[in-house]
Amino acid sequence: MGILIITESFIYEKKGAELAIIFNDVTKIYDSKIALQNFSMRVNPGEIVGLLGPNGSGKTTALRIAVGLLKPSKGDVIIMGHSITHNPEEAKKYIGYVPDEPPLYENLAGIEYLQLILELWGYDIADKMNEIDELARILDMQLELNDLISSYSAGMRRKIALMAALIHDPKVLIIDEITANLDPKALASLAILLRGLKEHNVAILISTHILEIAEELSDRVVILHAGEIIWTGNPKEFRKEVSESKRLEDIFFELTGGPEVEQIINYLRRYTK
Amino acid sequence: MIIRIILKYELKCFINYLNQKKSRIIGLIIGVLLELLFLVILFFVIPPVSVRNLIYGYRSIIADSLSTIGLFIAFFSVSGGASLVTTVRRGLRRQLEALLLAPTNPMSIFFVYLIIQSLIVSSIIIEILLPILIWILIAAGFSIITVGIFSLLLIFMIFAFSLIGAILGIAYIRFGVKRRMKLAIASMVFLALFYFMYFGALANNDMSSSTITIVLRVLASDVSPFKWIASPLYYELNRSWLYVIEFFLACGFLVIITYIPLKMIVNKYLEGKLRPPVERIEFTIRRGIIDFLFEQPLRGLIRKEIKIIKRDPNLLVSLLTPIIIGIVIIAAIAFSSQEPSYQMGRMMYMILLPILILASITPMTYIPVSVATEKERLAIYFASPIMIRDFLLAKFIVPYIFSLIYGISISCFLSIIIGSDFLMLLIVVFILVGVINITSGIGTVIAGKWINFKAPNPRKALTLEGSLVVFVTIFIISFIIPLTMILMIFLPTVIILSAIIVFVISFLIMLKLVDMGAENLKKLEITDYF
Ligand SMILES: Nc1ncnc2c1ncn2[C@@H]1O[C@H](COP(=O)(O)OP(=O)(O)OP(=O)(O)O)[C@@H](O)[C@H]1O
Ligand SMILES: [Mg+2]
Repeated sequence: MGILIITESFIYEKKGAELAIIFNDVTKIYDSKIALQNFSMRVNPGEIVGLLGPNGSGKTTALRIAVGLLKPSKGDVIIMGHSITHNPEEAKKYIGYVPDEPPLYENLAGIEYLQLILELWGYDIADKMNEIDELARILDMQLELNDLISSYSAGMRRKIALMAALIHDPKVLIIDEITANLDPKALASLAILLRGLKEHNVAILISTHILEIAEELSDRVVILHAGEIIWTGNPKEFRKEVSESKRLEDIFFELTGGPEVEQIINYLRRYTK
Repeated sequence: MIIRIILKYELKCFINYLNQKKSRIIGLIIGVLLELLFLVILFFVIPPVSVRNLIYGYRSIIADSLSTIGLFIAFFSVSGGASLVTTVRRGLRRQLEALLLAPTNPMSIFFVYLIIQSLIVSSIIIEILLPILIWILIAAGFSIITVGIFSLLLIFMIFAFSLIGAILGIAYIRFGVKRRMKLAIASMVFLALFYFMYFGALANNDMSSSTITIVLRVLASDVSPFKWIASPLYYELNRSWLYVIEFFLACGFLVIITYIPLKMIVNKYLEGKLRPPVERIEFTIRRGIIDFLFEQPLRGLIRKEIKIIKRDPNLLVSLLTPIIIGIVIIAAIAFSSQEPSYQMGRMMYMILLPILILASITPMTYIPVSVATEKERLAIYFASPIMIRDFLLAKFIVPYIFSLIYGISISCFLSIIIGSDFLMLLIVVFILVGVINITSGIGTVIAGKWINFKAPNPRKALTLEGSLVVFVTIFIISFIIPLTMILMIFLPTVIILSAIIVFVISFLIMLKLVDMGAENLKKLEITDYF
């Protein structure tokens, strides 16, 4: 509680801005397995935070708790001042969420899916047709919007989920596996878009495995390992201060372990017989 | 051998599935116990030998009727096979893909896999119908060996026709949304017509001329594969070479109708034709009655619900089946040669019974299925700012309004045919609405609490408790409706008063039940349904 009060006053001083996302001591235990432990972190408006970590380190778990799809075993997440566990309907108004594998209706066309999403957020699609059109152009989806989703490729599914998350003007944008299935052009467009949203005070929390993306895009990087934060900081400043030569990859491998080179060589031996 | 690998893999999956929750193991044990109880009662408590004297004389008639039963089983297997492809498709694809990576002939993988799946789909026939058939045949004095051979042929037939169903299912997936809809409606109309003629033939006693009897005769003739299936029985009755030939014809027939569809399925699969074609939807923003009646987000939820029902024949058929049955029953009454007896106006409402029961349980059975089909898509709603109660309400409103319109219009229609008085109609409508309110509410509770979202087939997603609740409710309703109707004759004022009270209170109960359902649904986490 003490930490929360301190951070709150700290943020308050900082131009009086509101808090966007606060993870407050979140723990998630599946059956007996601890997926996330005492996870505390915050994202300010106009900040992009990258969540990194090996497979199974708890990134998806953390993001799902933040959007209210999982209930924390302990702790809470505050979105724009509203608790996701106690006041979920209010908190979710502000969130745009892109899951790693978006759940979609096979029997709806992309545009009909967007209409559903808009109506869930209380909008009328007639007022949003221009924005849908613009987003579709950005993501190369104009031609596919009227096709049934059952015929979409994996990348198109991600794109329609991205459009759905963006179309209701979220103040908090949460994207799991930001690079998954996207082509280079879509990824580049998305990076430009995210920087623009950041200028407009949207708080952005992404998870990724591509360290370059995290380094290039985020103001702050949080590295998770086995459900716990093991490193957090700004990759660019870190480089300036500590060493020009040290890449984020080096930090990452130092903390979570790099490739098992000896094992690999051992394994490859069978081919040299 | 590939069959051993697949069997082991399926068994492991099943055991893991059971181990995840205690209730699943208990469910399985209860199921096995019930089946055992059924078999024990069937074969030991009322041993077939005990009725042998009674039915020994009808042996040839029994053998003749097997062709009709065979047709029924074939129908059932075809629809089971089709549902295998249409509803369980996604999980099936993933498993098949894993198996197909192995360096084996795809034909054998499909063969083994489809045998297992089709037997699972047809488990009701194998668990219940087959033992009854065997019991009858043994009671009629057929030898165990004959009955055994016949049973094997029958199981082979179930498999073969499931494959035909699977092929039809694949063809169906390849259809566009509109053609699918037409096909679903056409097949329902066809079924209705079939039943109508069947009942017509039964009612008119004019068996010789009706189309249905001609069909039945052809089925039981020597050129009918359905008769060939019964050849072991005929051979025991009459040791003629004809039946030996028919036996081999049956085997040949089954091998052919297994091989050709199997070949087709493998080819279609490898061609990538298990995917629906690309289809464009004309999107226009329409304002309609939904916008007029409902606020956001209910408006959007109901709009989506209607679109999905219109494009998912599974949901459409489960909604429309009661209509078809109702129409058939009414038609059968309207066209029956007997004049309705006006003095018996009140008692004639007994005819309403099956229709009213159907109308009143439709929401209860439909709502859980439609919530279960959402599966991982529930995440869309749990991540959105709507109240989960609204989501459940949208699931509730469509079948609820449907049932009301359907139940009330049928009541009115029947009251005109029968010529009953207005008061009686009013009472029936009051009770009907009350019952629909309560069953719809129960439907939402089941949807919130007793669904296994990970079941591959949403139609079978109810947990044991859920099925019990459905069963008990249907049981109670089928008592309440006739009871009130009979009491109506003796204690009219009491019934009128209590009908009004039930009518009013049922709305409160319904709202309470929807709240309960929503409270339970709210507790779900993504790991429960993804
Ligand atoms: N339904 C579940 N039941 C039990 N354990 C689970 C469940 N879902 C996830 N876990 C466990 O929680 C831990 C964190 O998983 P999570 O999906 O959050 O990882 P992640 O960081 O997103 O990994 P990835 O990079 O592979 O996406 C893992 O160890 C995983 O095994
Ligand atoms: Mg993940």
